[in-house]
Amino acid sequence: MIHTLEADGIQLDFGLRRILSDIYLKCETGKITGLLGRNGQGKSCLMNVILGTLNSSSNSVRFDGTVTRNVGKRPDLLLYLPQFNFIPKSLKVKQVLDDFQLSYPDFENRFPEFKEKYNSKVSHLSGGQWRTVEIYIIAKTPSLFAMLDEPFTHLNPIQIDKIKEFLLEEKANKGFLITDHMYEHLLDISDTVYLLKDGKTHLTKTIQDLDDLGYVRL
Amino acid sequence: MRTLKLITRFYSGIFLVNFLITLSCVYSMRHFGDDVHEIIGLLFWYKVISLALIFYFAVHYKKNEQYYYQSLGISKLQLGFTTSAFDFTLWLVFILIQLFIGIPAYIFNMVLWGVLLIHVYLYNK
Repeated sequence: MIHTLEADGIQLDFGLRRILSDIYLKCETGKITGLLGRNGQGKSCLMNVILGTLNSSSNSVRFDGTVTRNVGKRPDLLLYLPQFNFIPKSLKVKQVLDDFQLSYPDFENRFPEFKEKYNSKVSHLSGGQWRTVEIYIIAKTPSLFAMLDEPFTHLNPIQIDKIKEFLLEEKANKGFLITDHMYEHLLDISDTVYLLKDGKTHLTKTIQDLDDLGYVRL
Repeated sequence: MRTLKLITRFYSGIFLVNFLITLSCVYSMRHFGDDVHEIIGLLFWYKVISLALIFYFAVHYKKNEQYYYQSLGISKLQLGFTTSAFDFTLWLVFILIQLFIGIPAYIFNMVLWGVLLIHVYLYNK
């Protein structure tokens, strides 16, 4: 069964500045939805409004057509990878995987560079490895959808390729909403791409659309 | 069980400072001796306000980590309520023991040093 996550009717203002006004976003399980936009356009704000950690004057977040409030308290529906590191520094890799009830051998098979890292604290990992652990737990933990805010930050090109491959496999189990400035990587793996500009979402189909909307220069 | 483990982990980060405040209350009661009833109300508010402040600072300085607990289904409210309720109960137990039985100085020192040493050990582990 295909599940849907839809967000619209979102209005967000910071003082006199309108951040989000005309939003429509639809994600489906089994698909990766990309969200592009320049700095300060409100991509992270939009994700936080969907999650319920940022209050907007109005919004409608629907799972399978049913309006759902406080989505942040429903990790079975939606998981969120923030753009900063969120795993407590003092934890070891094995503790993190235990907390999320994930198997270490599976993780090690997927990312062999973690073979000797079972007992390492996450703070002793490189920035790319730390991010890899975070992406893994969010993508692998059972839920209908996952939102990833700048997942490719801190990753080297080889790690990015592995993560892209991993996300393409995992989309069979959930729907992803991903935002990142590395738009080429995002375009590679996305089924649908929205561009957020001037508080509005624009559904784009080709890179030419992104050029027309002023996001890239071809 | 998993929820309890996660809440305990969060609490361990703020336990020491909360516990030192509890011990400072017991120490104040020992100091006041027979006039202890004069400061009980003050100690109560001292504990309640410090609990709220410590939780506020813990959440503020570790706000990124809140997403970790949130992803595991534990809200900020749940963390705050559970740890505060437990810590306040611990404070109450110590206060009542001091009030009705009195904690001898050597036990007071043993508890203080024991907690500090365990904390240093766990921190370096």
